[in-house]
Amino acid sequence: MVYVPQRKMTYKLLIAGSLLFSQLVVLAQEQATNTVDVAVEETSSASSEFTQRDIDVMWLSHLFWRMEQADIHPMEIEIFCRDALRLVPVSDAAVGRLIEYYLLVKGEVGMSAMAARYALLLNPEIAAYHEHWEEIEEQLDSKPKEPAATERPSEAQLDFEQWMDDAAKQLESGKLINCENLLRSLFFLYPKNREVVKRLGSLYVIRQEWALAAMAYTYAHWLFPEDPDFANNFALSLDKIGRTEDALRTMSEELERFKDSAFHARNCGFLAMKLDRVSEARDYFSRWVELEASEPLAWIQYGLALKEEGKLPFAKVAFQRAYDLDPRRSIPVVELARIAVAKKKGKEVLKWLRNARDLLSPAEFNQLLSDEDFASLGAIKRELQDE
Amino acid sequence: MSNAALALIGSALFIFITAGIAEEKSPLDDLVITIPKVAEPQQAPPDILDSPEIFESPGITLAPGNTVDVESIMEIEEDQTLAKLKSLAAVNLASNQVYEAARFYWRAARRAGGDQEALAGLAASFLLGEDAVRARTLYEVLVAKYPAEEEYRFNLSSSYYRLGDYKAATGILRKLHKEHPLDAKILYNLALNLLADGEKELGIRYMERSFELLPENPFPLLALARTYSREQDRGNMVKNLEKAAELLSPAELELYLRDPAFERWRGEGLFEKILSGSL
Repeated sequence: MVYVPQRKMTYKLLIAGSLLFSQLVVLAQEQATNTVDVAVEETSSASSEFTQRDIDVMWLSHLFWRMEQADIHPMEIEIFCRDALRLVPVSDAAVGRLIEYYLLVKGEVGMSAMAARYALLLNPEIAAYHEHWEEIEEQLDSKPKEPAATERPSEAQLDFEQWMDDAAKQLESGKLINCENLLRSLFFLYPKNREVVKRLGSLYVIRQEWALAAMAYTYAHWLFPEDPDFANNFALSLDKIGRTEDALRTMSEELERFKDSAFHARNCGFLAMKLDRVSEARDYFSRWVELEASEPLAWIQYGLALKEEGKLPFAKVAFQRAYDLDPRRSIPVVELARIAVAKKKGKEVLKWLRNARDLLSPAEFNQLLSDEDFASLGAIKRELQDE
Repeated sequence: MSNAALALIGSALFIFITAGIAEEKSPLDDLVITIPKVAEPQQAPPDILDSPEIFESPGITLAPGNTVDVESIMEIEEDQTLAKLKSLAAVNLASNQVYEAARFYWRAARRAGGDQEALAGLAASFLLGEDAVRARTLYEVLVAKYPAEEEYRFNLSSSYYRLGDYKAATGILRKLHKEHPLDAKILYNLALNLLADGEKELGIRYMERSFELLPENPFPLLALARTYSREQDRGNMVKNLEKAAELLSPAELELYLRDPAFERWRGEGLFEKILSGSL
């Protein structure tokens, strides 16, 4: 007896092509609630291969299915939501469920505030998030930022310091779950504490839970808008959840606020490069160079952006500057060699390649020589080999 | 009957060990599901469960208090090879940590781009975790790709059973039964499907045959007792329950007697007598 799917829709067909996060989650949600549609025809050879994307869609739909089970343990909600958010950091379903879980099930005002700020960032048009936020904000108002200061350290103050120390130790020894438990306990008591939210954000970065990191920094940025570190991390976490344009816009605004911040200029440059906005990136790296003229990395990035724009003479100056600042770095040397090849300056090519040979391992150097930029350098290569 | 209680009994009772494959009874309906064997080396699950990804620029400025060696943490993560992930998954599956098992198998499967063992483990985890829809989809893929693997066909039939598609399940099990006429577990699942599909006479015959082939297994007796109970055949029901009582502890049997199929006989003192062996 052959099983006949109720709809002739193969799994492969269903999830073919390059899917965005949102499409992934839509598919997964459809599958989670649908008990008949997703089936593979036994005879379909095309459906017998599974890509990573197929596996992810299936896993995500499993998570959504689990979330809908009546007998789900409350503790499992967070696990499933966080697992879903690892795959799709902008999943509305998972974020919405997390807010309810933190707020209604666990009474964790800080965590629910994090999730709600994030939800509002993702979908400001959803009224339910605003309602949640009003409720959360009221509860936040009643929470202290830190243990009350007293003349002699109170028990609460001592506990706070002890737990913070313990959390740091757990983190250093790689016990991330223990660290999170300690920080969450403190966050429960002091959901507006700068240090606690900062460490929570860092923890989620280390765990590469970008949605949670974005939640922490979105909330931290709202709580402490004057803090340049939070602003920076907020923007970068936006990039990590796939919102690079928003990240650059935010980072750029922050750079205007903190005009002397070299790392804001640096990160703006990286984000612009990621978006292939090379001339914009060059401007940011130029600012980085102005702010940190003795930083070789700044000159290297500036040089790379200039090279990308085809401005080789300027790129050469930037790489030369990077080389002067730190002659042990291989990137400026290799790039100067490439520029010399482009300019057909044989002596310079030889000079920079000799330099590169000293800085790179033999394997790396051989790989470099096989690069297409150096493919036509028969005589120079022979000379280098003879040496 | 509570799932947790049944799970306890299920894991304690119906364990076949043949040819390197551990087979465990499903806690809900006595359906047999084969699970992948535990691979070596066995190791405790790690603290870190993240996906491997190099910490790349643009880097996030970590808070000063967290001067942790991020790279060393990443190394721990990187160190989780495919074999290790599968091993961790199998250990979790064997200890009934179905979700954790599925999670490890998923990570292994996505890393290896369709590794057979990882996909099969993921499918088994779905099936044991009651997610029959995804189990069916995965097993259909596996059966299409590896038609010679009997385990996949067997578990695909179990997925169909869970989804109420008894005819599809029966089709697979009949073929398997032809190939292995003396396999008690195939007969047992086939009988379950036939009974569920209304083919009572044949179902009962196969169930009895399954018990003959593996007389230490009480589940065919319980299935028969349930069937006779529904048929209001008190005599045959009692006969099978008495035989099952010889193979189960009173506590275990008591749990099974909470099945709604036995509802009509409650209050007669009948089950109390069976449990005390005084009937």
